[in-house]
Amino acid sequence: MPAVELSGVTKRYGVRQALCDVNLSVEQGSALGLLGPNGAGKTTALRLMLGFARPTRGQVRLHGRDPADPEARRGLGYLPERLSLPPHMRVHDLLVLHGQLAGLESAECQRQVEATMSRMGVADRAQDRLGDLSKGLRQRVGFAQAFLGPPQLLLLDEPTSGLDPIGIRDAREWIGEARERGCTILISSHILSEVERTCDRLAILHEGLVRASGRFSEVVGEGESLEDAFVRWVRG
Amino acid sequence: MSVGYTLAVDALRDALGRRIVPVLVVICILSIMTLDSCTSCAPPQIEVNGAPQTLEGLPGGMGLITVVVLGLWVIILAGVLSADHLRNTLEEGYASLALARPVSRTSYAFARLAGSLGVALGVGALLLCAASYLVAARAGLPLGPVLGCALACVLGAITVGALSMTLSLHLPRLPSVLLVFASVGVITLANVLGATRVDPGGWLSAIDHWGPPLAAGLAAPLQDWLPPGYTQLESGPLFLRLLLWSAIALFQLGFEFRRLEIRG
Repeated sequence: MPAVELSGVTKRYGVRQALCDVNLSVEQGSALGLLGPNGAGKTTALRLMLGFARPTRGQVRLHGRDPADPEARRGLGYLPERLSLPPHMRVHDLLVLHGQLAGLESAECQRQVEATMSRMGVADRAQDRLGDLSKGLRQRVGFAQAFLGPPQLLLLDEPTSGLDPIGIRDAREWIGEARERGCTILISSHILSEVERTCDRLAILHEGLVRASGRFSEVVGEGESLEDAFVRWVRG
Repeated sequence: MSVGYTLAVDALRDALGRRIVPVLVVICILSIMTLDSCTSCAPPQIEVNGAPQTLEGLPGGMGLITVVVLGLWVIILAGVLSADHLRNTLEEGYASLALARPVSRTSYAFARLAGSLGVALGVGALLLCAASYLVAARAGLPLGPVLGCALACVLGAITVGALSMTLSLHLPRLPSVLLVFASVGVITLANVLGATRVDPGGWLSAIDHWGPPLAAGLAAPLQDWLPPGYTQLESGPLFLRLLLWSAIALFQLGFEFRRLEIRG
């Protein structure tokens, strides 16, 4: 059973069509890079997968369940593109809250929060308020909350935005570790090199349509760079 | 620990951190000081043609009006606080992180409501306890009826809070708050006219008969403070109607929030 499946999904906002008859499947344990220019429908696809919106037509499934069902989102880690964290809250408190929401027992939650803070490099800022952190540190906290559980499925929307080069390299390592654990990963990004380094499958969206999807070798021609392939698929 | 409890604690902590809370504390202290000052006066001595007259029902009437006004204030406060307690988390984007977890929309909305009601009812408990004690002890009135009034206040706060939170999913904060004031005002007017046996007719009469009996529900248990025959409010049916309205308001909030599309 695929970890994520979109079957004939169309999503309209009034007269605007954000997604048109999209079929997409992410197998368990694989890492899919969702690429597309601005307005291609990437974030809409993620919103549908999270149950934040319902498709106008077609169906979305997470591990075979409707994402509107809370149980479908058990074991899911999510990092939004525009990460917004309550400024008055402390780093540690936010992570404990998300650990509890992920269903962790108290002692296990504490253990995982400490370990994740340490892994993401925010342990020394545990008692800082989120509003006092730099954008890069907030993004690290965002990663930390997404990695609590630990997740079986990670939905990451522009995950390296706001990170410095060291942070980007760290993020790549964290994603790699999650993959080694067998976690399914879906990354929506504009940064082609990031997708190239972290994913084994690609889907290119443009104007709400899936222009190409499959393994790298199926989407990118021999001797062709990902950038050239992306431009070719988008411009048709 | 259940998810609902975790979210409710977070929502209450969030509500307590709001800038309005210190203002509410000051208002509470000033209100209690005013009540203390007002209730410490000796009963008025009135003579008609040289004969002293007792104003039967005056302490009870003043006590009833005081407690009902405070109860209505608490209900309005619940509506005002709820008007942005859920909406803010959606606008700021904090809700999306929580709702990506195995959390039902209904649990999330009810937890946010519990947070705003926690503050409103905390203020209410403080005010109603102080007011009831001062009014009842100094005027020699029984304290028992205040319990019924407090229950009506809780149900009224749930009703208005949930409806205001539902409205806030579709309207900006200011119109939601203005609608809370207007609705509570109109319902109170309809209830007062109904209780004084003035049939206003038309929609005011319909509101008095079918709407949430906010003021009537608060006043009904306190009728024992008045001499017999002043009002004829029936506590039982009024409570049942309030209970029904609070259930409808909660259902509506859950229903609307489940339908809402959330920004990612």
